[in-house]
Amino acid sequence: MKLYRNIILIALLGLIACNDDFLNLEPTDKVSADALFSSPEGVKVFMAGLYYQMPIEDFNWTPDKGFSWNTGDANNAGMFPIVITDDGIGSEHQSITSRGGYDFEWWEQGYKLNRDINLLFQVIPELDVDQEAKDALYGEASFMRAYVYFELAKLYGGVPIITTIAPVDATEEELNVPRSTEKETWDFVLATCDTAAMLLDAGDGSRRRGTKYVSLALKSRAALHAASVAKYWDQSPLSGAAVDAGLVGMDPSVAAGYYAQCISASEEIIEDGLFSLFHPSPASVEEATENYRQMFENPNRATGEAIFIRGYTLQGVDLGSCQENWGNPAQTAGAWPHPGRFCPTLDLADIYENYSDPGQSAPIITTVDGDVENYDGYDPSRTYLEFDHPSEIFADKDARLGATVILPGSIWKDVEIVIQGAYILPDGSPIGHIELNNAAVVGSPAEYEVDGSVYYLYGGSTPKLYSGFSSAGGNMTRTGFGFRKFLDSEYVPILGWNYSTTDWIDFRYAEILLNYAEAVVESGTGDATIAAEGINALRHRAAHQGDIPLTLENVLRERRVEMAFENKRYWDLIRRREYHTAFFDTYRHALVPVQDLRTMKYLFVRRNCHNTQPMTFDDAWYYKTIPGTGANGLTQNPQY
Amino acid sequence: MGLIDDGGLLRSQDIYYNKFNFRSNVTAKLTDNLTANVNISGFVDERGSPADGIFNIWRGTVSSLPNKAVYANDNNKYLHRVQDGQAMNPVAIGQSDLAGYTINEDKVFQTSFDLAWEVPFVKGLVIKGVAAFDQRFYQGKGVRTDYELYDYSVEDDTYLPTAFNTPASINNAYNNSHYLTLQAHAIYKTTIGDNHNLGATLVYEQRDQAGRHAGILKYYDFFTNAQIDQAGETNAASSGNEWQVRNMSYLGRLNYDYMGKYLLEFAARYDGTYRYHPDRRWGFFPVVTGGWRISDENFIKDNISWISNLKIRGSYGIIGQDAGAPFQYVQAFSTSGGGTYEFTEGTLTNGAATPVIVNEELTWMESNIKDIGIDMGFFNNQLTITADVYQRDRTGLLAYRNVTLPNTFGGSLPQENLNSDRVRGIEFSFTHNNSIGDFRYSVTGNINFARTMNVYVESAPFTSSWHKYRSGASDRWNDIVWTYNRLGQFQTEEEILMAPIQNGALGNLREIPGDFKYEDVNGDGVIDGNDMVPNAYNESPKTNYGLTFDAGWKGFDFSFLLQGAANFTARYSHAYTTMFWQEGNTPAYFMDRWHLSDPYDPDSEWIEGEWPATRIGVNLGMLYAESDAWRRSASYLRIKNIELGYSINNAALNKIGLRNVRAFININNVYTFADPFIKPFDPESISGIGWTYPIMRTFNLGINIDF
Repeated sequence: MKLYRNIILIALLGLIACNDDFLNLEPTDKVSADALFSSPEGVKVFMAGLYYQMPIEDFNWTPDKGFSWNTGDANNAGMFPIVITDDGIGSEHQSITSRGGYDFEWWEQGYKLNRDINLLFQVIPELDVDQEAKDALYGEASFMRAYVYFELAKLYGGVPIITTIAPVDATEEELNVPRSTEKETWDFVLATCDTAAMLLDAGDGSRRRGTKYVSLALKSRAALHAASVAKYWDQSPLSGAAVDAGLVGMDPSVAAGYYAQCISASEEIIEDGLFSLFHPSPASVEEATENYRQMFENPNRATGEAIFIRGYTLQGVDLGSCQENWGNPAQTAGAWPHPGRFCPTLDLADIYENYSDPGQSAPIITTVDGDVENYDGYDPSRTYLEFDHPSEIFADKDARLGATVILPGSIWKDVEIVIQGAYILPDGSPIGHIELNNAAVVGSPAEYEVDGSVYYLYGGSTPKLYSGFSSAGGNMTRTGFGFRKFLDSEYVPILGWNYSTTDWIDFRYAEILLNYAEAVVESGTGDATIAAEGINALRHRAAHQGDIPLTLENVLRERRVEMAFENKRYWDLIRRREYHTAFFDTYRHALVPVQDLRTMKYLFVRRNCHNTQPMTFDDAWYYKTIPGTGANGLTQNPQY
Repeated sequence: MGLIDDGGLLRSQDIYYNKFNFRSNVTAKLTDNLTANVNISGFVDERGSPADGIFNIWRGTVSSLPNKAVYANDNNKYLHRVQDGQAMNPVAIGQSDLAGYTINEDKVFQTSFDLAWEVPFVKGLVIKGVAAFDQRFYQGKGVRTDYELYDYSVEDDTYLPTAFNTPASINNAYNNSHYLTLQAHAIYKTTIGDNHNLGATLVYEQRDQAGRHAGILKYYDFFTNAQIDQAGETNAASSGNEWQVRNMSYLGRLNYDYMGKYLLEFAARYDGTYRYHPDRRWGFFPVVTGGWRISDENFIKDNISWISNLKIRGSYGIIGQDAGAPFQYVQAFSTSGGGTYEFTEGTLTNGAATPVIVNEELTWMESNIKDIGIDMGFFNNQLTITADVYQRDRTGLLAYRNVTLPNTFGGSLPQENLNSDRVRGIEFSFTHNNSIGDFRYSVTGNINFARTMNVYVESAPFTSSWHKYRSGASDRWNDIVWTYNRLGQFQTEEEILMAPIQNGALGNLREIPGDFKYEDVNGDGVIDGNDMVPNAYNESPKTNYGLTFDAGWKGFDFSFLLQGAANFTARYSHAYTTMFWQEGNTPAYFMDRWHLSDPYDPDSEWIEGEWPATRIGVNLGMLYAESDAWRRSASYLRIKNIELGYSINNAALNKIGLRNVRAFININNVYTFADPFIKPFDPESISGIGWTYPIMRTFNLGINIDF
């Protein structure tokens, strides 16, 4: 009895005597600044977080989700930047902006990364490392800062330049930094590139961190963008308060200075000779096609050409992309149910040169009359060229076409890719996607027997046997071409997100040659011989024999061909103010392979992509709308 | 002790649930004054399902097009590759043997031990100590095995395989957690004089909860057995972390009544949590309650005999709740959520996230509660009625500050106690018992209506009064949904041409007769978000009600239960409200649609129907816009249960050792009254995709035998 009583009393006293030390717990997922920055490995952990946020326009950059980085919902329905330019169109979607002017939004994420970088600048002086190591960190931080402001300037024009961290309780004046002018912003980007290039060395060859040459390459790209905006501003002048204050737009007179900066940065990369083209002298057209394909399939094969690579590693779990899923043609899509989402346009294919006629775009001729401007559909009164096999029509085309897009009848992953949109019955009636004047498609009969053999409208009896034109699931190309660049020839897509680990080349030597050539030809300064050698080196790598002269048309064609699908086309149309002329009540076009059941041969019909409307680019979209102007007090961009 | 074994909906029996539970309560009087209680209970359960789960199996069942056979070319050796409507051949993924499975197992043990000591030298004082310890062991196993589905190629009479679930994988997950609660009670009760009843209680409590999780995922080069050791080494991922939660409380309660007629109680808690800064971790929450039993007053007792009980009561006080991310007062980098980067090919480095701004101010959310109620009993309590009116004002709800910092600041702001809301409600219930001869019956009903208003909601500054009207949330009901006013359906092409533009840049090019038309509320010739009006309730019921009826006559007994809810809406998504969603199959109700009398002739006559003309694809404009076409009232009344029984209890039975035998028949989910569109679904499980485990109507026939 007494014993029990004592136990209870002691227990009670013990409990009540506790002070609230019991509530003092430590978090299990946090680390202090001192611990994190105490070693280079810790700094690297912090750097990983910064690089992760970098606005690298790779496989995970989409018009509607911006830089999604694969967090959360990876489903962007295959809306890649390719499909909002004249180089491609979605299999189901056709918009050139997904949400009016709101696409690619990267404001708050941009300023978050900016703050993180500012934090790094703040921490560096306090680190217990020698001055050399500190300079390297300053250099890398400067490279990241330049990268951030380059992205902001492209999207928004002049933006607030914030290089220190204001405390939360700072005054409104300290917090609400006004926009700099567009010119000040570009000057800041280029000066910051200079700082980075000065402080950094050539790096360790991994091609995955900021180095002297990545900083110069960034400067080359940014200066060309700034120069183009200044030079071509008058092509689509905007007006309003933001223009009056110089927040968007620049005077054409400043273009020369920016071209000069592009030339000097590019020249330094070229002259230092650390970079070169991957397999510059192929023995044949086939070899050239294969070399070009190999580089994008695995950029680590081409570290001589690649200047900066964004790596992808972990299948499905964390860091991968969906490009194999969306990109593969239906026949090689494995278990993935929604392939074939982006369709390269006939307009892109037309740009590529023929070997027999160098220095010219070579629109694909399908009729004896040679009229390539007629997109009205099949017209029995015209005489069509007929081929024994669909691939024959592309025989003379630049090697890079077949490595960039999947051509009808070409071999991919040991499978002949069947792309057929129609057939002509023995009685001469055309069935399928070739009706005159974009009429509704009559897909019936879907099969037809001739001499005991059955022929199918789309070239096969089940969707596993063809990759074009059928509307089934939006999985079939509607342009006659499939997506090919970057696809892995070994990988079979599975039913899951983010299983592609193909690395992305963000900067490569070819672009530097093209930037240089464009700056030289646009400004009339620099070394025209080196510039011409640059674009011809790219052509020789694609198995062209002779040289073509340095003209603006040749440089721009070469750029569009060489850099196709590397997400440059969008910015080229923006910076050169060509979007509103490229899309002015404009259709994108398709090349429809047709089997003629009278001759069993193939003919081709050039036409507007079926089930699409003509698109028009709104001038306001040259800049994006700035979010949150209610709170940040900034001047909004024109026409928003 | 209990045992449950449920074989589930699939014929394969691959969805199953089984459970074993037990409970043992032992009370021991150790001495005259000392009582000990030992309670031990627990359960072991196991839940199994094919790897894809009911959601995907159901989705496949709903979405597979009727012209797609289960087997390719109807050859039952080759399961057909059916991937309609983002779903899979349900016959394939419904088989654990083919595609893999998941198993979740829980083992839960709950123990409590208390000792109560009636202090002999202070009459009415009891001192009690309680220790409760619960332990939960969870383990999960998921296996995905690779399998092939087939397409049939007519050209060469072959079956083209497509591999799924490649590579095969296995995961094991473990989660162990415990809850330790220690309490000390001092309970004192006394009566002073004859009429003054006094009680006091003091409690100290501390709670400690902690757990550890670990998971392993591995992929196979070649599947052999579903064992981690037998999977490949090249592609593996693991996860694991620990968590801990601690709370302390001091509680006190003082109650007094005079002859049970006037009642007054004062209670208070002083609660501490690990979550907040040490200066902000404690909260004090008092509640006062009072009551007056009027029926005990002589002027009622002596005069109105049919009133058997009448009491009014009220309470007023504050209740606290600790919420929000813990440790916001600690300045540190976060090692989770900082992203990853590949510095060298093939190696991933985990990043660190920069600290959010430190917040030392975060503290308890408080609810100020007010309640007034009345309890009534009439005719010897044959009829009792209870009614309550209440209001709950919550302050300190969590939100991110949005007003003062521009969006160029770049830092993530911490949660703060910024928002507030108010709930007001009424509750009413009654019971009526009676018997007439051998016939006895009882009816019980209840209804509750409550609505919540946001008092203050932190938001970015509004750029205009229109913006505030459209996006503001403060001082508004929290249950409003904005919808378009649907005027009907377009009858003719001409009507479409004359109508306001409702498909953005596409004009009305894609609209056809039968499509919904909407009111141009602001009259600007365009139907867009500016034409929406706050016209519908959201998806949580504001009113809930129920009614139980029991009756008996001699050996027969009969009961039914009604249940319902009102003042809410449902909006399904995906296949149930999209024609041929993702080109999968579509519900039969969409057959009643506008269509051309000759589908091959665009000039043929339109036939009217309830729904717009069926079409697949994009740029459909306002076809699926929020309106009363798709958002329906989800109010329902359900006959939840009907049961009829007959009991025998007589000497003859007793003789053979049986005390009571009862035979019964019952039906669950008998019938539901609801909007005809909502009715086929379960209004209780409400909006969303709707690919859920369906509600069952069950019939039971049984006999209870008591020995």
